[in-house]
Amino acid sequence: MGLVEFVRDITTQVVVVAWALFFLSWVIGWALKGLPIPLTRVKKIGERILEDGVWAAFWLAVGSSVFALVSYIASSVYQPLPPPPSP
Amino acid sequence: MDLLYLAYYLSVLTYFVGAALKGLPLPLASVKKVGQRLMVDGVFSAFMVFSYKALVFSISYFSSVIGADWRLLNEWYIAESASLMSLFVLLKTIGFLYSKVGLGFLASGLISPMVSLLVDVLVTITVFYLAVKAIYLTAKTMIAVGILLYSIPFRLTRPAGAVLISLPIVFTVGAPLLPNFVAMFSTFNPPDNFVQAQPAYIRLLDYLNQPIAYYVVNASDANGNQLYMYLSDSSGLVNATSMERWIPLGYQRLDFLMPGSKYSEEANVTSSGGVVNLTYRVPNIIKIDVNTLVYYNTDEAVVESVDRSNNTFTTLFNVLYSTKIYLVYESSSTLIVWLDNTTAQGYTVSFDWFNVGFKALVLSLHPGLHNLTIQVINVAASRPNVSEVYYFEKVAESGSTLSLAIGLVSIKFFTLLVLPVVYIFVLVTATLGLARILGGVEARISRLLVLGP
Repeated sequence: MGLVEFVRDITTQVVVVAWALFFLSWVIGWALKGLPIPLTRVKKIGERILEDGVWAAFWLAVGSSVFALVSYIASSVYQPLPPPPSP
Repeated sequence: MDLLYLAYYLSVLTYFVGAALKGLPLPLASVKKVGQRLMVDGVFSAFMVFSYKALVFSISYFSSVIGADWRLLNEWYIAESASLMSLFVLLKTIGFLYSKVGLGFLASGLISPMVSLLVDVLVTITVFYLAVKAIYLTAKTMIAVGILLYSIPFRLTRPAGAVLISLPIVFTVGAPLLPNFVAMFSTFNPPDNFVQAQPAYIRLLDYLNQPIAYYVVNASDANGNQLYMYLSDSSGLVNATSMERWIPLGYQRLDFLMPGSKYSEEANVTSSGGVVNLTYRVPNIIKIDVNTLVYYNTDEAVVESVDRSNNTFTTLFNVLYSTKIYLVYESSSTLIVWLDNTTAQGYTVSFDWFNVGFKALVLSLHPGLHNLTIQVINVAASRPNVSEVYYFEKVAESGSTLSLAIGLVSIKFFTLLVLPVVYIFVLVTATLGLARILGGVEARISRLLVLGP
């Protein structure tokens, strides 16, 4: 299935890009935070970028686990359906 | 299923694109929000992929809960299209009969619009049946395609996917209930056969079970109103099988008119599937030939023996009381009559019967055995000039046929066109409601689907 492979390739690339973006955010975030300028707003921006980056990294890391969980829940929703009452 | 694989990987892609957007080193709230939404969408569409089996199962589950049966819908469709077809035939017959009776303008002015209405009705239920059947047969594929569209990133085809998922569910469960929906509204049941009539064969036999020929059967109802008047053919059969000549059901008094005589019977015609056979025997008539009959009085004379050879007809009468025997024949026929082996002595009366000249030879007989011999030289066998009264003509004159036909067509129009369209709207709104639950359908699209552009 060419299309499936294509989508999977894109997904892999997106994941790579996402990790790269996380490192970029990490670096930029710390850089802003550690800037020798006593401006609270700049420090705040750095902190927000850092925080979002950490969250994104977290979700990236647990991505496959999330889908495993979804598959588990959806299958278990289907499994125990009672037989329909016969009219 | 490949479609589901693709849908699954598309949801994974959606999720990771969302995560990447979230990790973007830009302090923009809107971008973060888009990322967040994409992640949730990915998880939710993955959930849909894994509940594909549950969705397919829910169709049969809800069907059995509601009691939807596709067999019933098939039977309903076949029965209704057959009834529409018979209505077509009926309208055609009415048109034909009206033009025959001389009301052709009514036929062309009223029947053809009714026929076109019926065509609309037939097309509507056929299209409904075919569309619903197609949805039923492709339900699984439609759901799979719906899930695929649903999981395409950035919500490009999410509303369409949601509609495609809910459409087979709602229609497969709901469509077989159309007959129940229609039955809920059909309070008026028209008579199945609105011209209550029946094809028939009528025969009249003489003492020797020979068919009497040329007679006229004149029928009237219990109040003495004439129902129909038909002429027999030369073999003594009234063929009332073509539709305008059908005979009505129920009680009717039949007067058989023969030259110089009348014989009455009462009949109660009941509806049977095929052709009704009405055969009557007149005990005091002996048929010599077409338009040549012998009448006698069964109380006063008894037929001892009958002999028929070539053109000579010999009857031995045992006369108990003084009686008269009538030999009725056409004026232009030639007969030689002997009574007790001498040329018959009697008087002749001439009369007209339906524009055919007849003669009656009246013979007086004393008690004892008498031998009547009739030699037929030639028989004219003229067809009487009878203007027949068709039963349908009587019905058409009363005007009830056409109004009943209009009533029937209107009922079909209402139950098979208006009600199905209403039902389709009910199903469409249910589909959109379900689609909105599943993931939203744009308000504009739903309004377009329900109300039109």
